Formats: sequence, C-alpha cells, structure tokens
Amino acid sequence: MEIIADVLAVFGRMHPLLLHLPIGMLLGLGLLEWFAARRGQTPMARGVVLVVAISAILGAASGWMLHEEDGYASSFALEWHERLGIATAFGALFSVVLRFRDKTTPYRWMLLLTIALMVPAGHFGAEMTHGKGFLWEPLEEEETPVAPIMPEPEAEGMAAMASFEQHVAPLLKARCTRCHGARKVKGELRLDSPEAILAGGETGPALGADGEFLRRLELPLEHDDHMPPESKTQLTAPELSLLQTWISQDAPFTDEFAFGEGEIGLDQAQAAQAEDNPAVGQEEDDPTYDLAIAGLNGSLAHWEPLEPGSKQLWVSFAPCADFTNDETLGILLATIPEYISELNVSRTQITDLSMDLIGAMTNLRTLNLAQVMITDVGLFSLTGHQHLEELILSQANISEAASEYFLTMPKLSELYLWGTNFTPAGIASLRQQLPEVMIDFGDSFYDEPLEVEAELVFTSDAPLVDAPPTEQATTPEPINTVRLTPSNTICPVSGKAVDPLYTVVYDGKVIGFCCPNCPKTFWEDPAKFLEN
Amino acid sequence: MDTHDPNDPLRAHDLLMTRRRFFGKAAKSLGAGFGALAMQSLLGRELNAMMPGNAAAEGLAGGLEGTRPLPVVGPHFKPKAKRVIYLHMEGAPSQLDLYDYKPGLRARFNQDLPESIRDGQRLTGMTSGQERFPIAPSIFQFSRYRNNQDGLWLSELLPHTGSVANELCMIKSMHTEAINHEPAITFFQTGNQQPGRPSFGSWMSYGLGSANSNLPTFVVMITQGIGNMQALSARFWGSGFLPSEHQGCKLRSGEDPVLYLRNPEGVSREDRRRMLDLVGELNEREYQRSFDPEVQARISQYEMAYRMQMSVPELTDFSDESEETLAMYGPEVNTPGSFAANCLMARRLAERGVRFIQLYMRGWDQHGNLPRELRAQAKAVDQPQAALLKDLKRRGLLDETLVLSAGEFGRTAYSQGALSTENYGRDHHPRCFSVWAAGGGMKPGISYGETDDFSYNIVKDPVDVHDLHATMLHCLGFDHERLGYRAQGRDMRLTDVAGHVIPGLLA
Repeated sequence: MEIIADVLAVFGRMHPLLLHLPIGMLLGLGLLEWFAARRGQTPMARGVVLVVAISAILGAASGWMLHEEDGYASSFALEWHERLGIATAFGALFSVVLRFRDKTTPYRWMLLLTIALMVPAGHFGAEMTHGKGFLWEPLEEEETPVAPIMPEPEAEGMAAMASFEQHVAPLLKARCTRCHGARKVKGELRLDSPEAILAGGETGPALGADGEFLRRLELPLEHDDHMPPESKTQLTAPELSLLQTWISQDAPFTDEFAFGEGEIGLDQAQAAQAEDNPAVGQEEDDPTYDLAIAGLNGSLAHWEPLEPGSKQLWVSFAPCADFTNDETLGILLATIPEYISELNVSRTQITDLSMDLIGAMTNLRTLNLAQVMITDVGLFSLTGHQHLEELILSQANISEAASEYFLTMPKLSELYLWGTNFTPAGIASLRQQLPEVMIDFGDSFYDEPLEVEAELVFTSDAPLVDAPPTEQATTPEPINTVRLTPSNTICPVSGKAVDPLYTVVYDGKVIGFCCPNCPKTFWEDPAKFLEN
Repeated sequence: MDTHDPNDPLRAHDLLMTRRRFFGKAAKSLGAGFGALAMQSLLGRELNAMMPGNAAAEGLAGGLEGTRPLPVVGPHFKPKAKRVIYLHMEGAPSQLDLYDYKPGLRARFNQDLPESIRDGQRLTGMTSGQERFPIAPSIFQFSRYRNNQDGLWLSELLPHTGSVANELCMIKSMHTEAINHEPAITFFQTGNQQPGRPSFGSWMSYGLGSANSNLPTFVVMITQGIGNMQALSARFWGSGFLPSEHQGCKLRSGEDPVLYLRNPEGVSREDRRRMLDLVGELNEREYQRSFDPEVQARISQYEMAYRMQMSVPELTDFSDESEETLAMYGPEVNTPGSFAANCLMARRLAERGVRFIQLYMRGWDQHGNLPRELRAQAKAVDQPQAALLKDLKRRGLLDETLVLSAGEFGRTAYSQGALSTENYGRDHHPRCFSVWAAGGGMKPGISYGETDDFSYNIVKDPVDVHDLHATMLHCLGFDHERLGYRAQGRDMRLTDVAGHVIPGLLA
C-alpha cells in the first residue's frame, strides 16, 4: 500500500538523524572497551551493546530506505557508503551476538572492525552530502573565488549587453555548481557546462519556462524546493533578474543578450543607422576621451567638434606640421581613433607607420594626406574603410598600384591625386572604374572657351527705349533738350548769361539758368530769386 | 580696494563694466598663453572657476608652445567652409567690362541712357555736371567659358578666370546703397555704412577662433594698383566693438611682412621669452587691478608676435614651392606685394589654418581711361586668382575654403567724360554689380541673377550685401541672426537687421 511506502520514506529521511547515533555510540563503546581491555575489566553491559547495535542497524536501514527514495546519482562514494554502511550494521550485529555469548575478546575485535568500517562509511556519506574533498578543502590551495560579474551598461539609460560566457556561467559557478557540478550532482543536474544544462536532471530539462531551474529560483525562500538552499548564499535581485532575462531570451549560450532597461547600445542595433551620423551626442563620460582632449590641448594641433554637441572631432596638424611625426601622432590620437571624423595631417612628417592608426579610425570621413611621405604600402591600411568619403593624396608618394585600394572604399566620393605618381592613363582607367567618384588630377579646368564673341562693331542703330519710334534719331538729343524759351536772359541765381539748355518751369513761366547747379539753389527759395 | 569679491559693489564700480563683459572678453582672448596660466594663479578662486573654458585650460601642459586659445563661440551647425579668402577689388571694377555681358549695347554706342532706365538714380558730384550720359559699350571681346550651366561669359581681360569658370558662383545681381568708396567699403566689410562696426574677418575670428595659434586669425594683405586708387582705411579690417585681438593683422607688402619681427642683433629667442614673461607679469598685475580687456588683448598680441617670429619666416619663404606652382601664379609671383605673391601667400595661409585672409587689390576706380587702366588691372589679377582657385582645388582645400572676389559697387553703363570708340570712363553705380564666389559651400559653376540690357537695374534675383553676408555665414556654419555681440545697448550682428540666406547660391 502507498501508505507503507510513504512511512518507509519518512523512515528513510530519518537517516541523516539516525546515523549520528551509531557513530557516536560505536565510538564511545569502542573507547570504553579499549580502556576496559587495558585494565583487564569486563566488557560493557549487554544492554548497552544491544542498543548500540540496534542504532547501527536502524541507521543502515534508514539509509537503505533513503537510497530507494531520494535522487542520489550512483557514484563511487555512494556505492561504498552503502556497502560500508551495511557492513557496519552487520559488524554491529555480530558484535552484539558475540557479546551475548560472552566471547569477550572476539567481541572486542569485532567492535574494532565495526568502527573501522564505520569511519570510511561516514566519510563517504559526508562526501555525498557535502561534496568531494569536503574534509580537506580548507587545507587545499585557495582556488580563485569566482565572483559573479554583472553586466554593465555602456551608458546611462541604455541596456547592457550580457553573454552566457561572461555573466551567466560565473554566476552559476559561484552559486550553483557546488552541488550541481563535478563533485556533487544533486537531482542529477549539473550546471557547469552548456551541454549539462541542456541535458537537464532528474525531473527532466531544467531550462525553459516551465523547467525546474527557473521555478526553483523563483520560489520563496521558505519553500523547500527553493534554490539555492536556504543555508547557502542566496542570489541577489540583479543576479536573479539576469538569469530570468537569460531564460526569457531562450537561454542563448553564444549570442549576447540585452539586460536591463533602456535601448540597446550603439554597437548593436543602431550600428547600421549610425552610418551617417556616427556617435553624435554620446553622453557617457569617457575618461580616455577626456584625457586625449587634454593631450590635444597641450599640443599645437587644432581640434574642434565636428558639429556642436558632438564628440566626433576634426583634428588638424597644420599648425605644427613640421614636428608632427609618427610618434607624436600616436601619442595624441592612439587612444581615440573612433572619435576622429576629419583628419588633416598634410605636410606632416608621418610615414606609413602611422597608417595603421589612421586605418583604425573607423568613423573617418575626410582624410588629408597632402604632401605626406606615405607610399602604397601605407595606403593598404585604408582598404575596406567603410566611411571614408574624401581622400586627399595630393603630392603623396603613391602610384597606380594603389588603384585597387580605392575600389574597396564604398563611400568614397572625392579623391585628389594631383602630384602623385599616377599617369594620365592610370587616372583615366581609375575614372572608368569609379564613375561615381570625383577624381581630381589637377586637370579639371578648361582653358579654351566654348565660344568667342564675333568682332565688335559699334553703331547706334538700336531703337531708343524712351523716344517715340521715328525714322530719324541718329543724333540723339541731349537729355536736357530745351523745348521752351526762357523768359529771362540773366540767371536769377548767379547773374550770368542764361544757357537755354537749363530751364525750369515755375508758376507757368519758363525761367532760364546759366548752369545745372543754379536750379538747385533756386528751389531753396524761389520767391527770393524771382524778384530778380 | 583690495577685495576680489566680484559681488562687492565698490569693486564692480571699480571695474566699470558688467560681469558678463568681463567674463566674455577675458575668456575670448586669442592665444592667452601665459596670461591664462598666470591668471589661474593670480585670480581669486571663485573668479577663476567661473571663467568659461577653464576646464580646457586645466589640461595645459607647461610652457607656451602648447597653449590652446580659450574656446570661442563656435559654429551653430556643421560648417562647409572652414576659412575665407576674400579678394576685395577696391575702387569698384567695371562689371560691364569684365563680367556682365551686354552685346546689345554695341548697337547703342553714344545713345543717351534712357530716363526710364535711369529712374532717378542719384548722381555723384563727378557726373552731375555732365550734359549727357552716353552709353559706352565695352570695347572688350567676351568669350563663353564652360561651367555647370550654359556657359559663363567673361571678357577677354579674364582668360585665366574663364578656365576656372566651372568653380565660380557668379552673382550678377548684387546691389548696395552706398555710392562712394568709403561708406561702400565700410558697408561691404562691416554691414553698415557708418564706421564703428567689426569687419567680417573680425566676426569670424570671434566666431570661429583660431585654427593655428602661431599665426593671426585674420590676415590682411594689400596690393597697390595701377589704376586710380582710393584711400584704404585700417578701419576696414578693424574689430569695432569686438575685443581688439579680433582685428586684422596687416602684413606689409615688402620684403619684411612684419616689421621688427626679427630679434635685433644680440637678442636671442630665450632673451625675448624672458622679456615677454616679465612684461606679461606687469601687464597681468595691471589686468588684475583694472580688468581692462584691452590689457588682455595686449598680452595676447605680444604672445602672438613671439610666435610669429617663428611662423612668419617659414610662411613667406616660397622656396619650397615647385617651379610649376610658381609659374601658375604668373610672372609677378616673385615680386613681394604683388597680387600674385599675395595670392600664393593666401594659399599658404589657408594651408596653415588661418581663418580669414583678406587681399585688397587697389586701383579699380576707372573714372577715365578705362580701357588702358582696366587692362593693366585685370592682367594683374586674372592669372593669380585663377591660380589660387586651381591650387586650392588640387590640394583638396577648395571645398572647405570660401573664396570671394568683390568690389564695393558697380560702374555705370554711360561714359564719364568724353566717349570715343577707344576710350571712356565710368562712374560709380550701386544698383547692380557682379561678384563671384567659389568653394566652401557655394554652388560652383553657376551664374545667379540678371540685370537689364543696360546693366543698370536688376531684373532677377537681387542679392543685397546683407544677403551675401548671411549666405556666407551660413556656409561657415553660422545662423547670421544668432551670431551677435552686445554693444551700445543692443545685440549687434554682421547683417545688422537685414539679410536672408539665399538657397540658390548654396551647393
């Protein structure tokens, strides 16, 4: 019947309780018998020995019941614990039989043997519960304690990127694999490798929304099934949240997953969108960036934000071209290559050695290498650059062999090659291969006009704009053509002779003046002059 | 009063200025160098901490050589042009004989300018006495050069400029209000006919700051002309109400671009440095006492002079230019002070990060003897200005350098003085004139605006001087309505209260 099985199961669960009795009592009895034997005294009372033996038998019996019910994976420790435990029980039984037959010396030897069997039995039992090497562990070399690492977001308000390898595995190792790992495999579940996690345990797959893994983690602390067990270090809320997020993302083992609130960081989903506008307005505090800016401030190089509020930079070494070389360039820019959008190193002393650093400037749009002693070798570092739009190589020491590099730059739109070792034929060929790119070879000007005006002939044949259309008018009238005869002969302003060209009409009368300036004076006070 | 507490009213009175003026001016000194370092130690902590840009100053390495000027206003949005080369044709070149092709006028030789066209335009004192205003067609033959539209007509005086026509943004519909040189040039440079305002270059020095602390931010070079020359005041590159360090630095046209730049015999550079340190310290104490920003300007000018001792000889030494480059600028390139030499210098300055380079070519005021004088004038500028554009282009600098060539007004269609088929003169004409720009965000290879048949009135797309300024400021990354400075009780700006950005001029 069920009830018997359950009762026996309860009895089995008393094993951890019951086993302590025979351990203590057998040892105690053994000690007493040893003293007695030394003094030549009689052995202990029969009743005592009987009780000790019964406890041993009950201990072993409960262990056997427990084995039947609980999920202990079969292992070396368990097998030998079982054998030795049963042997201990039998040993105790034989001891009591010998005692009742008053065979003192055999009894004592049997007791000794029983104790000798009990010790390893107990040890293996402890190993099963507490893990291999439990006893000596403190003496062993300090293993680097595994601290769980929580993923950090890149910037405030953004989600962090977490991965199994970096964040989940250390957490499991720190909190779970003591009992669910190589040494101990509780519930037949190992959590120390992806395969083992996927394999699951006694009750089936651990992962999944209805798997035991998550269920037990989310149980309240008081619940029996809650994991980690109450006596062990518990997961903190963020750690639990990390595991929950991981499970909800279908427990990825290789891909990264987003953890936390906020948008996904720039180098994830927005990377494609950020093509045109790299990292405008990054808000986070980047001490490397600040340090590099301080370094630039201390140098003669000029830097400016690409646009207001942006962290992307235009850097020009024009003010200090004479003493800018590979070393100084590296010192100033090696820590912030991704922040450089426009770089002017024209006329500096850098060589091919710096081209690796320049090639690492992934957000570079404009690069001015005019009059720089780089060669095709250095240019190789720019192959495949995804964002470079304008490349100025005027008077640099490059040749047509570099043509193929330009083909690998998808965004290239302006290329300046005057003064290089390109030949016109090479340029023509390159222009054919890159029809969308403006390739300047110092030849984009046209000396000859399209059209030259015909020979100049001056006439006055054009019709007058203002005059009525008449046939004559070859000698145009002067502007101040007089149609009116002045009524005076002396200029009222100056007193000189009137020039009929200059007249005004005032009050119905035609008044003549000597020159064009007098009418102005007249108009100031006509009445006064009219008296003349 | 020895307190440094800026809130102390007696102290404020002592300063005789508002705090904003103090912080604003003190922070914007060019190449503060020693001044910045010294100020940090001499000033009270609260003042020091509140000075804008001090975070940047924290990063100063010791010594002068590596000091970055304190931050400036900065562009409002991403600029296309990083610098300006402004070729000012002082005297007002005749648009009819250079840029504005009016073949119809050939058939109007000696006809009177119709009243309907003249439309009451005021006359200058020089022609108001003329009996007649006979039309003088240009005696120069025009050719059509390839550009991005259906070709650009230029006179025979500008063949080299024709070869770069596909880079030019020719504006034929400029107009202004001033009719005489001084107010007109003041207007073109400062946005107002009355003097007292900062010039364009000063605004750029204020707005963009220096990109090379070893050279002045605003450089001016003057070429003497062949034709009739008018006065050229230093006011045209003055800083007006902006701090003095934003004024233009004029390089002399002779052998020595900067007088007394070299140390005298027996004085080494280290001696000079120690002298400057001591003088700087004395000036610093004065500054501490009075907080007069002019003291700060003086300190920075001394420091700039010290740096220029090294940078200017290197700049003016053309020996590192190839023969081909020198030949491109024409035969006069080796004559110091010629337009060709100055154009080459302008390119070198542009390479070295100078923000505003202004060249004045004098002598375009052809009231009489135009054919002879204009030929000589044009010959002096044609090849060099084309070479400048070609040189900038092939070095990849043209798309970030805004080049402008402009006079202050135009010239009349009618002749001033006697008209003959060989000779004539032209008077001032503000109602329409031609300028051209290239590079730096201006649309290349176009002709913008149209005048009437007489090149007297504008019939299409007028461009005011303020509009041109606004458009140029736009190319430089500024909203012309926002780049301002408080002076005389109001917020002043280069475009005064006018100006629109003209989209048709932008690339």
